Amino acid sequence: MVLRTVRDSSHVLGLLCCVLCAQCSTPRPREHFAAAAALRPDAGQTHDAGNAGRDADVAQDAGHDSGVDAAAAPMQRDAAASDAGKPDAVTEDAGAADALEARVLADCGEPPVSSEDFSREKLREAGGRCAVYHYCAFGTAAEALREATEAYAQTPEASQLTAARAAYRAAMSRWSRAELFQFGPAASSAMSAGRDLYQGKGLRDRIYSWPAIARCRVEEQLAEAKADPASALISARGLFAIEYALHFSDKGSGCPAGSVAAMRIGQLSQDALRDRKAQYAAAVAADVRTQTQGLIDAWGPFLPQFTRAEGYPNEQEALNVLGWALIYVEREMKDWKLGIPAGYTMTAPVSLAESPYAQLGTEALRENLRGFRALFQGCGADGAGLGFDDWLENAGHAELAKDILDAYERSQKVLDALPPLQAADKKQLDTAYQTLRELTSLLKGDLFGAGSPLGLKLPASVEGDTD
Amino acid sequence: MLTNPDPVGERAERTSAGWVAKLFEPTDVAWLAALRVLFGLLVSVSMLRFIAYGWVDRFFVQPRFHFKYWGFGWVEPLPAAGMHALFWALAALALSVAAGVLYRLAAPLLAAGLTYVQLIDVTTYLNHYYLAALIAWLLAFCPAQRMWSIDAWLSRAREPSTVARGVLYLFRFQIGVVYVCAGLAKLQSDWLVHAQPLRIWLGSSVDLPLIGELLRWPWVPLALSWAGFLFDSTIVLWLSLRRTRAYAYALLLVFHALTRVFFPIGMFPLIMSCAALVFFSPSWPRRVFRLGDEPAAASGGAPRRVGLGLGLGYCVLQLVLPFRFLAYGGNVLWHEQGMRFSWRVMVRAKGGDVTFVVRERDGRTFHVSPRAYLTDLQESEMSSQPDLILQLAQHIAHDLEQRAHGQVAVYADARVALNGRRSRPMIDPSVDLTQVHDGLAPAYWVLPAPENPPPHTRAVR
Repeated sequence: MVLRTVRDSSHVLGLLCCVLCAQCSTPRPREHFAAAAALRPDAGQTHDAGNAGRDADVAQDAGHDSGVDAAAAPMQRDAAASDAGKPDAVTEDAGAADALEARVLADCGEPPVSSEDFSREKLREAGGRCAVYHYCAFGTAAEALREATEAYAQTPEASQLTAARAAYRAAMSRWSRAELFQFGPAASSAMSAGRDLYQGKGLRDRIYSWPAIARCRVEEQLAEAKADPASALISARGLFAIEYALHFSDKGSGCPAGSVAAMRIGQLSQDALRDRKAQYAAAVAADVRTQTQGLIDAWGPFLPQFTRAEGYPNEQEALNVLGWALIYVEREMKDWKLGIPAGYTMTAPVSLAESPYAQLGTEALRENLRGFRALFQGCGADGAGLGFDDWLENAGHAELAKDILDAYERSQKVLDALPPLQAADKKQLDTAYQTLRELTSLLKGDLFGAGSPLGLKLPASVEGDTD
Repeated sequence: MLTNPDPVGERAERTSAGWVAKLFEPTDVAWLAALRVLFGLLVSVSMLRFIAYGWVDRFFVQPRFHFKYWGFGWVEPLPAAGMHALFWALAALALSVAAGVLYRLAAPLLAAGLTYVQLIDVTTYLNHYYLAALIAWLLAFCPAQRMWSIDAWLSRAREPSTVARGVLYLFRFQIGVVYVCAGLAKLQSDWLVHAQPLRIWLGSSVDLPLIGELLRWPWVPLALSWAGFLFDSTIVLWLSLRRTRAYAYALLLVFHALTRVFFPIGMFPLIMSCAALVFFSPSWPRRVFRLGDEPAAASGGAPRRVGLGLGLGYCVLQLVLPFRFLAYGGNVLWHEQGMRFSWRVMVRAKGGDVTFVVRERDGRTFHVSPRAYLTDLQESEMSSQPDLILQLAQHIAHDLEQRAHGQVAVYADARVALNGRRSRPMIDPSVDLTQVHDGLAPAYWVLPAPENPPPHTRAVR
């Protein structure tokens, strides 16, 4: 089945062949997706304990075909079946991005920049305001996506699909920057890096749940005549579901062959399936818009609370939580998004790479890192505003701040030059991984942990006593 | 005329016999009974905290891999239900010790249980857990149930309400070693000159009401560092002198209360505050609580060689363990050889980032993140302790071999920051850790400690 699908594919085929065949002498990215699933000690676990019961099957959803590796096959099959990345789509994207920037400016204004002297309270306020700004910017993009998918659902034609895909790309880009801001209501309440176990409400997962994503869960929704994304599992809704519905054109199913979902989808004609996907994309986009507004609304009363560190054991712990958002660069970005395709990470709870159908993985990485800068250095253009670098400077550790920012600059530069992950060669992935690792080593080795000059603890250290 | 052939030797023998006789001289057992009650209650609360905070699962059930103590690799955790049952049992045993119910059975079982819990995973090691296990063992060998216990109340044969004075000295020695060693551990430039790591830790507490603002003054951490050093080093002396004892104990209470305010130090302040009561007169509980008269003076008990030998052996061990780091040279805070069981309490802020680099026989290289095997807590502890890094490296090799990777070489890329300094490599990256023997010999694969002073850290409001 894999071979047949690959044979039928068009543009992406060449890229995949580069990866799968031309690099035979070196570890191949797709091999390591397979290895990641096969070796995973915690296979079957989701990333969010709060949703463990609902999404326990997510990680196992990646590859059900017997004899096919658990993660690589869906990636290859799905990437081959998607037709993102065509030149006309790129042109459309540019126009949509410009239009979106204007709407963001009108809706949210400029990114908030605090010119006040540094204090730990002001840092929390700046971080909170920056998060709200990015949620607002994404909300505008989500509204544009809702409009585009609604138009496509009403008129399922190629031009509307192209517009919807462009809107998706713009929304995904915006979310990827907001993705790093996982504290407060957006965050999970589970005990883990980049989580807020005090005030986390898990609202982020309703918008974007990667790596807890599952094609089969989305198809189960498509198999229903009247799907309701608001009540679906997080793995069947959010941006991933829209991506699948807009970019995956193959008629096959990711669910087990004998499953109800697979059989129902198999019974649908190509046009009927396309219409279902268009309608589901519109419904999910509307839900994403609603959830985003819910997140922004939740931040209304939470921002002053967070600024005063209310609801946290003490002021330092609120700052720890703010800082944990930065750990996203180490785990999600370095280990999962880059480490798996680069062949460095052998074990991770990741069954599907980020953006497997629209192939926006590299773009997401770039925007994630821009989000890092907004939180670490400042929310404004070129890092203007208060950030952790100001704290380091005030505490007498300007050298560490400079080293982190230099490492950031190098990483951003490398990621900006990185081609789409599916097209990147081993050397490019190696360079990106190692460069990002320089940054993450500074974060984990110097900024955080028991040796942190700012007393910034890693999440683990809030567990248990010490002496 | 007969003359003594060796008068010096005879005098020494008499002096020695006098000391031994003094050790076995009966003294009021009230202090021991009070210690039994207080310790039992504290341990019971401690066990209930483990259950209530979910630590039984997080520390003992959830980890897929456990770091072993050298020589105790055979110790394994019980299944989840068994671990929970054990902590409930330990809480009950501690209460039983406190009440003096079936004390002769409960006390050794409690000591064994606490020791077992300690041995399951090195990353859960804390000085005060270790101290709790030691006190539990000491109590298990003492007749602490002779007073104010259900056993004594039910017993038909009335036991003497006395205990050998040597037992009192043994407890005083144990508590004294903790304080003195904690003080000596602070006798180094990071603590006394640069006020590290106190400067970092206190910088996190500037939001505390009343005292928070004080902590921003640059000289305060240095003053508190010196105060901590002087307190730990000399408090045993002041507690041992009758004139200063009451004041010293009041100071001790203030000191431990402050440590509780500043640091998440759990039961340690309470345990030490209760344990330090052994420096008071053996009859202090009778006087404080007006619980009857002191027992009448009795003649000395017969010396028991076994008891004497065990007591002396214990004391020697407790002196050797904290100072074994001298055999390794270098900075014990960095290489950690001789760190555990040495009462180096709160003297290092140390963290790091470790990635294991695995090389297969065909030359293929990949990285393994510790989180693939460890919980967050385990990773945090492992990242700065070389012997734990070695253990995990060898476990990774073993695990990969079982997963059909064949024989692999495992290297550690470990950057560690100590007391506010910038991080630096701790493990020689060229050493294949699968070829290193995990033993007590000096670790040649640990790189030298940083010699530069830690940078000055300002507390920021």
